[in-house]
Amino acid sequence: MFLRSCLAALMILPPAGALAHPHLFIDAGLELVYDDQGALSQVAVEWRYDAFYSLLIIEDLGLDPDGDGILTPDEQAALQGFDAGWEPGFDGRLYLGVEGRRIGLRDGRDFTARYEDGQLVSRHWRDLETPLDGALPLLVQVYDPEYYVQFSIPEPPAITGADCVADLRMGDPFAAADAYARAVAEALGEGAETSPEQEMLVVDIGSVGSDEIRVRCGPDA
Amino acid sequence: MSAALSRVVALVGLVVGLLLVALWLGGGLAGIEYWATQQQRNAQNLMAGALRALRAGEPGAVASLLGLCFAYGVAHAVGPGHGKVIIGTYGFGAQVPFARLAGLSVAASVAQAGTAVALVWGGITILDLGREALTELSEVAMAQISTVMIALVGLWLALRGARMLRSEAARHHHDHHHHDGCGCGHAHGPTPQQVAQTRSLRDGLLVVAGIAARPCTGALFLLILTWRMGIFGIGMLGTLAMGLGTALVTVGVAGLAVWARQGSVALFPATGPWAQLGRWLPGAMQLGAGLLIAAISVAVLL
Repeated sequence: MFLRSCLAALMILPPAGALAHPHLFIDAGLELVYDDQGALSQVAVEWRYDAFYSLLIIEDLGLDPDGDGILTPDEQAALQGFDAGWEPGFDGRLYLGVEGRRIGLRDGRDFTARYEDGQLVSRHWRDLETPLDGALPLLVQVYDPEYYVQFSIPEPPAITGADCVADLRMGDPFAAADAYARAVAEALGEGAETSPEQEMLVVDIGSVGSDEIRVRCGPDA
Repeated sequence: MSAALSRVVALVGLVVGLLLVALWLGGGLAGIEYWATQQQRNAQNLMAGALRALRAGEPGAVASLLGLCFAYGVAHAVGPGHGKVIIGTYGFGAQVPFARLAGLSVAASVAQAGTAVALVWGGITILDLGREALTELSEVAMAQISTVMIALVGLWLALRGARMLRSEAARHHHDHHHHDGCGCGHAHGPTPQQVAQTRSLRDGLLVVAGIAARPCTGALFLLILTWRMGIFGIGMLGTLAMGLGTALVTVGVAGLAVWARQGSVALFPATGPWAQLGRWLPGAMQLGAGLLIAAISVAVLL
């Protein structure tokens, strides 16, 4: 009973997402690459930064002093790898899931970057720890759990080396609120049999409502 | 008639206020927040355009940059934020008049802009910090300082609410003895009204400091950017414009908070048995509002 009232008290507090807002906007583009066995082996990730953050980085690096938006070859070289300095354990904000299981990815490699139309566009590769059978239905998500960055996926992914169908679903801005309300209802409904692990209600607000891609490969795709 | 009408108006304020809080806590404002985020994104991209125009030597771009900064401030403030929580709860809980609360909102927004300027200027010239160190300082250390201060504001409000309840209780006790004809001239404890009026400078400073201690990351971006471009003065003006845009929203929240407070006072009639109950209300509201602020701050910190 005490547990339950504590839980109810926690519910009154706003979801973590209700106090966070993004400062950075990134359009993500993906390319899924399948090997000759038809297994997904690597993913190319392209991040197109919003113009304001792009300008901040350009100015911070002291590039493009004439402001014409065109970098000299030297400046181009200096820009490379500007977003490659990942902290250890950083997940790269790319999440692959199969049947509810998260697929392990290696750190990003081969970072490149360019500056076009006032926006920085960077690109890197992620290898799967073990290539994944292409026949399995795959869920791809790009989001920031801390919601510091708002990611969107404007285009379906490019697919190389296999016959696949990729279904891009635009995020639903109301989904996060709905998911929270549902979690609250479930937690309160469970009542007596609430196990200790469920005391803290954690809803990953960053993932619900984000754009997601569902991929199916093979003859029946 | 006029008294009845103003009572109805006040009650509408309470209903509107409660509805908004319920919607916010239940995630029902997600649509507005999504809209605000999109506006912020647009403003942010247009600001980059204005800054590039400045770089290309178009002086007219200053005005459009400042206008965009103001819009950014409004959009950013429509989204969730600590300023609105603190102004709203303080305004609802404490017996603070609207003009004073609005003044505090504007002062807090301007002071928040000042913190951002001081942080970037001091961070670059004195501490020689880079962009990442500066933003991290603000987002981690200063955010925590701000949250702790807001928790203190909450506890301070709650404490004063408790004192008001206690003095109300003492007064009741005293009233009963009056019939015995005890013409005692001893000093009484403070009346609830007196306690409510200790809305000293301390209150105002705590509220302003709690908000100002956490500068907006967008303002930091703008200041670092303009520093690197050699137009820090324009960056400072832009930050001030952002602050005033934020103030527009917090002053609105202040008005709503005061309106809702009047509504909860209007719940109780001036005479009759219910009026007795109404006397406990200011203290109870202050205690409740203070505890709510403190609880939210602690939840954010943990």
